[in-house]
Amino acid sequence: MDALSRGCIIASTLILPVFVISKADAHAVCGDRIFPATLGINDPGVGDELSVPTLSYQPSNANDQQEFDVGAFSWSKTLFSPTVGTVGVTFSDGATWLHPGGSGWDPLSTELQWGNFCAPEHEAMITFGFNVSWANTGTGSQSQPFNTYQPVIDVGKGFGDLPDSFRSLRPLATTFELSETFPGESVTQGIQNSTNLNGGFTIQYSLPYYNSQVAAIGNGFLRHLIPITEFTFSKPIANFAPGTNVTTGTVQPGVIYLGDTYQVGVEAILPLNGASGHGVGVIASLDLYLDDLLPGTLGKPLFGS
Amino acid sequence: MKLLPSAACLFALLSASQALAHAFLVKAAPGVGSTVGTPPTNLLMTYTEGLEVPFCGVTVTDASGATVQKGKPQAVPGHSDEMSVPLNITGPGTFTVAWHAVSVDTHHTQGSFKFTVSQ
Repeated sequence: MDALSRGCIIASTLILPVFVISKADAHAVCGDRIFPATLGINDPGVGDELSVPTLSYQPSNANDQQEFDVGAFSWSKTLFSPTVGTVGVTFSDGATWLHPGGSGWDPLSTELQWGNFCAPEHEAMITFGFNVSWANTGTGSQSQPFNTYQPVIDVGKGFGDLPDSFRSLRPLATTFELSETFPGESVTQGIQNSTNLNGGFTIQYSLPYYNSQVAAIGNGFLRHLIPITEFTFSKPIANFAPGTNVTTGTVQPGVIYLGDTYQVGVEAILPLNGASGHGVGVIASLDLYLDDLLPGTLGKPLFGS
Repeated sequence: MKLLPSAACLFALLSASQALAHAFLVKAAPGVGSTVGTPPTNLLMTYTEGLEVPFCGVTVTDASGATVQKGKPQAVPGHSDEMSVPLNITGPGTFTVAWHAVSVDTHHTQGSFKFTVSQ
């Protein structure tokens, strides 16, 4: 067992008892806090949601290759709510066009999640997941002959527990994601498939929270907005070709419109460094809260209530 | 599995006349974070969705922690997205409202805010 795995197990053991205080709602709500679905990393909740479509125009990479992602979707389905937490599964897929390089459907990914562990008085939430990108489910330039495995941890913390003298900062929240991707095949056609450490975090300021907790916002549009900036990174940490273990990532400033039954997010994509590419991209996504839209059918756990 | 609902289906889903969702606080009177000149006799709260008022709760306390609401929240006739709480405030001070709501589709939400009475 490597150091990272030991560390994750130890961290989970220490964190889990603190968070097993209340069974959170299936919609990423923890105490007074709503954690919206985010575009660069996952939010810390398990829920019934449909994200379609997600469109992105990626900045040119270091090899001047341009990428367009069109029609990506992600469907999250809660399976059941045991005594503690919620278990769900997410199916994700989409099409990618590379110029030059061709196009194709990405491999189908499924992530099994156990989470919604919430400490409501601290607006703290955590979810654990295990994602698999399945071999031979992609097409064209995106075809992949091996599975890729990815344990994931997602954490969220709202700052509603700040003292009253800092109440203007209470709408702030941060979320954090850490994962590692393990290819099911170490070498494919003479090319090494690296193991990567991935992560990211968001900083968000919720105007809906401000409106209901700090002071009323008269404008009906503004009080739905959550300005946000996301940071993502990825770094090969094992089985990489010499000189390729470079950290790449993005900075993604943007805004989320939080509706009653859906949300719309738009973010710019800025390369973190030269190795990440150059230019500016954009990503946009529509998320439907199925637990609100279809609470009696698709919006409830598959097993039990 | 590759499902892509048509744009028409998405529009229909979002335009559902009877929206069922979490009930989040839109506004209150006295307002969130507001200062009022005279002690209010009632707290009115408006939400994004219809409420199951019998399952909702509101606590209003003064700076010493003493409760100043009189009884349980009441439904507002003709406004399923509102609830009101009668108050017994006799003087100036800062008051804390802690609420929890259950929407008509049984989703739970909660929150808190303050308002001030200046005289």
